[in-house]
Amino acid sequence: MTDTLTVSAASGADLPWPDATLADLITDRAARVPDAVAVRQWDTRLTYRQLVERAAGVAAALHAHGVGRGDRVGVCGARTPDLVVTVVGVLLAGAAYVPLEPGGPRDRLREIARDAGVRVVVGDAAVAEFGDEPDVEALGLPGPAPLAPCPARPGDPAYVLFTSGSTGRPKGVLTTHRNAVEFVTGVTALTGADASMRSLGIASLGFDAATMDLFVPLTLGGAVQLLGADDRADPARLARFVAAHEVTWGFITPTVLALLDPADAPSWRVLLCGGEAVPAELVARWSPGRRFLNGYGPTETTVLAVGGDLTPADTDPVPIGRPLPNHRAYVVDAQLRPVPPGETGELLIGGPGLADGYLNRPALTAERFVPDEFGNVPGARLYRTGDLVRQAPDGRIVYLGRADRQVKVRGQRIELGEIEAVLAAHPGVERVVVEAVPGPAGTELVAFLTPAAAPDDDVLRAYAEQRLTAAMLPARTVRLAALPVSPTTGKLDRPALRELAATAAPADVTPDGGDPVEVAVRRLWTRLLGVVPAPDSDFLAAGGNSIAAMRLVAALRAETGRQVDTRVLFTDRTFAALVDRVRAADPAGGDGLTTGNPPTLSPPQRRLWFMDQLAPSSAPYNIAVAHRLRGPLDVAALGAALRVVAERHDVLRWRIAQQGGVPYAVREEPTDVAVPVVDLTASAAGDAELAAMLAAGAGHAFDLATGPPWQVTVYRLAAEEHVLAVTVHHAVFDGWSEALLYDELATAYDRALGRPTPGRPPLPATYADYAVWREDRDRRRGEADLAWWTGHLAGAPTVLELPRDRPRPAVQTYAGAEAAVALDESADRAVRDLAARRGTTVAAVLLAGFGELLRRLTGGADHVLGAIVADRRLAAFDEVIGFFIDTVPVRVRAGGSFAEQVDRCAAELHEVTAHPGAPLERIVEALGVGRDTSRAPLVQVLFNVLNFVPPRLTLADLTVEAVPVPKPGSPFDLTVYVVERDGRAGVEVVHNPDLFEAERITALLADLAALVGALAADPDAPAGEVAAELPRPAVRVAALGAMTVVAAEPARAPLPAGPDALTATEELIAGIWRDVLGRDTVGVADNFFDIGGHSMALAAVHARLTEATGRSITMLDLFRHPTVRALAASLDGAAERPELARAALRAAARRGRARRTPPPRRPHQP
Amino acid sequence: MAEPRFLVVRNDEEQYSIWSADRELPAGWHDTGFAGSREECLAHVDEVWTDMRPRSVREGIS
Repeated sequence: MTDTLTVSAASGADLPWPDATLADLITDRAARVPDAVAVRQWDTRLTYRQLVERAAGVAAALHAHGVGRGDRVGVCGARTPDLVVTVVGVLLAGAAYVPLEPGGPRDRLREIARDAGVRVVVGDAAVAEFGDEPDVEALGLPGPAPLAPCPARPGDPAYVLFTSGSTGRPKGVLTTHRNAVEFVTGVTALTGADASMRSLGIASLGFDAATMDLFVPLTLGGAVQLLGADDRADPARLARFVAAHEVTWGFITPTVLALLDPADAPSWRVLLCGGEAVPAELVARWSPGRRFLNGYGPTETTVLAVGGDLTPADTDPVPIGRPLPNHRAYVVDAQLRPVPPGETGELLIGGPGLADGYLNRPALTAERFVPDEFGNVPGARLYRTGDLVRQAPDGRIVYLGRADRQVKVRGQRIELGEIEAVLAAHPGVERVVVEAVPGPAGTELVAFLTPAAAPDDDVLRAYAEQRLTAAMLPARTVRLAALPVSPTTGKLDRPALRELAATAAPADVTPDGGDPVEVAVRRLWTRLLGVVPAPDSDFLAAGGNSIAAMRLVAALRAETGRQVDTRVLFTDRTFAALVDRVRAADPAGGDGLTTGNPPTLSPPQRRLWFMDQLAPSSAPYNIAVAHRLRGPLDVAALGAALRVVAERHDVLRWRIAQQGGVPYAVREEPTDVAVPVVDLTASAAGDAELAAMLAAGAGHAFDLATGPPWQVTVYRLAAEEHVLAVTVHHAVFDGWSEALLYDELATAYDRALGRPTPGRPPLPATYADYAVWREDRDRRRGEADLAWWTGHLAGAPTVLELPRDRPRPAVQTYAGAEAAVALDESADRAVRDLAARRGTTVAAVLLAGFGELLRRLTGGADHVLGAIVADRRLAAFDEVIGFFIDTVPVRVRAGGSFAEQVDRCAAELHEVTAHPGAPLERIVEALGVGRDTSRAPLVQVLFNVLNFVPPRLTLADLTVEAVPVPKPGSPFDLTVYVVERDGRAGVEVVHNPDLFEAERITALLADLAALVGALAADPDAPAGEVAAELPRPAVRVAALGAMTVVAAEPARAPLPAGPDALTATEELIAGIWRDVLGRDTVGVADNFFDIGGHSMALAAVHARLTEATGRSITMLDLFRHPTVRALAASLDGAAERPELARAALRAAARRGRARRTPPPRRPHQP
Repeated sequence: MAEPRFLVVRNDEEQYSIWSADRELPAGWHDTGFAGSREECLAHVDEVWTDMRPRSVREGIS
């Protein structure tokens, strides 16, 4: 036995892991947290239940095609949550998945499929990529199916990943469930991951880091945040994705990490970096405020074998760390004998992460997996990594380079020999040597070819693209008459070739010419690709790839302040086209606006959707308008015009569906807009009938999930008299949108009539772009703005009770009734004069007057109202139809003179618009406002000062006149609109008639108008002394018994607790739980994972329980029996007692129900 | 200088490897009786190791 004190070796801690398959662990987890989110990509979310049901559908379809345990199934799908469904489905079927990435080199994909013996390929791209391949069945994704047990055993392969092989043939590494489960357990321990984790799903499925991205969260109850292809390829989109998905945990290569800004990822608490050497500079930049871990491991040892924390104190080359739990590392010489500590040698890895070997490659397996003479497990093997390392004095391992000719390009491990073999197979090539040299965009490959007349780059590229991955394509080629030979050894002179590669590289000179944009693009292109571009230089042919594109776009943004999408580089690929695109691009200007986003709900839309779900029977969130049209109306042209508007503003075509209680947007294709014509020409009581129909239309209950969010109706009153009624759900519309709608409708109607009216230019941004911009803005500003709000509202009352006529219903109703008042002439003049003297608006004066009225009504001097802010802060949103509205709290304090009150209100109205990053519900939460079903939280009275000039509709050949439409409902007790009618200021209100009689509101408005006039006329007197008789007692005094809340239904009695006294085993388990979880009590039916348990706590329980009972208990037993009672029953041999199983099911159902019920939310929108 | 000699070896899971002929065989590994150069031994492994699944998996134990 070797003396471990004098050799270079290290071992990870012993850590038990579940003896189960990945599929077992995922389905067990899903049974416990069925409604938790398992996978998210923007608005698409899969719960654990959905994931497992749909994966079971894949497994059932595979079974139907004869797939079973031990088979290998190709997975070919786009990077959507469906890809995770597909992977889990293959595992559930008992088969191993073989990633076949769509869009990859076709010949290579097919060769891998053949090598792996793949008969069935499944996934959303399977048919497109393999539909024409004989001997392969290509399956799309089937629907859900009942879950059937996974037939695989832990020793069976879970996946086969193909890595570059030195003979020119990729080799498949067979990784078993046991390998993967042990790794997941170990990395969970290393990083402290738990169910709260949101992992970064960035690795391609063919890179084994995907095991980390997917299976660590899915075995813990965490959520995979899966990046789509576009977000993965663009640094700005990647940063936005990470922020918007609040990634907490994730593995990333240093090349990609270097493109991100730590400030954009504050929630990313555990950052694993690796796949290539990690620069110390990156550690220094990223490690503050988070754990930064290096991770190292070949695919053959399952993802990571060595890892550990790095700090800014670490210098280049930074250590890769120490062996993961259960793993061992040895540093050996060429004869596989250990070297002394500190000396350089090849790294050997031992432990349960070792793969079975290479698929159908016995000799290669025997060569790389060698007998272990150092450990104490008889018959164990060690994997020869081919990596040169040394052990630092502190025991950590430092990576120094490759022992053979494997290199890493952009994180992918590549055998130079494989590329050489492919290129050499071209008939025009005699000899070829590929060398990896440092390039401006990371390691780059240079191919040296003979003869000097070898085929040109275009020919070679066309040939190689079908056989090599993008990372394997040489960045440059050099043609030589002969390869250099070393005079001493007679062997190929590689140093000479590398020197040649350096001199063949273009000098870093940039010719001048063109405008500043062209100069900047040329300089950056040259720096990143190493060649000076000509106008028709092709980005891909010049060696560009997705990483170079990301870097180029990021550099362009930084240097030119212009934002282009990386996709431009793959569509318009020439230099000249790129320059044009950059010139045409909007200045990024730090506004963070990106365009071309898929339908995405904005945070206010999501809130409105929730509120809409709470009030489905009424329609308080409708906006309804109507116009009388006199003259010849062309209904067909009107329909065509409406279609044009909906084509331009896709938000009008959105559907808001939901999955597991989480809403998301889907866009329908444009269709003709139906314009039903209701004929009232024969109606005797035309006007009354019309009014009733308009009211009914305004109250239309939209089903946002299935139908359009707007409707248009034409009422025909006479041959040349119509009323056009439009009702739009607030979720896609606001007051500003109304003017846009009219303008565009007018233009489009003109054109539909065949008039020579110019069409409109494309919109600079869409509502989805706003949604993405807004989420980013809120994230950046949220904390600071929230702090402002909590400070501003400290000590303010959270309930405003106006004297009313009826008891408050236990559950808020949304009924609405309207009233209005205009100031008389002298009051109007006084208000305008005062506003002018104080340098503010009429609205501020009216708000101050309303504040004084409230003081007289409630007796308090401090009130919180709501105000409306339009969040159209970028010019790009000026012409976008959609919901851009926020409700913000406004604090109004009485006291002092009216002039002082006006000044305070003016300042308040200004300040509340300046903190948009914290939406109302966050403020409500931060203030600790209790939940109450009878009223909206914090804001029960809305004071709307958004004083739009009512937009006017004009239509060709028609005289248009607005028709009033009753407001369909009221989300607040009282909404006050500041208006100007016939040149005089006034207010309109919508009140809830379930609270107030119309007479009270009419009197209140009259007294408000009188009071405001009196106060404005005497602004320097103490406000409380002015017109002290107002308001009249009928307004001031509540109806008898009205200031109460109708009693709610009594709460149901809690379910009785378990009846029995604890058994001895239950006592034992409960005691251990209490210790491990640090709780004073635990119930026999409490689910471990619901009361603070996580996997590391489970490991602690496992150790304690094993020790206390002296019995062999697997970790899986603890997973399977997560309550004290169930676990005790299992240990006592009664696990199969049906009543226990039923009780567990009932408990699970209760937990599921509790999660599915959305938390009560109060509406607060106008 | 004579080419180093190797043995084809096998463990109880019936996984094959090669081992230097002049070194003690680690515990749990057995000499299959085939010896030769490195290349000869690897070529032999390619011939005899026909089912690469570990024995315990093949026999349904694990």
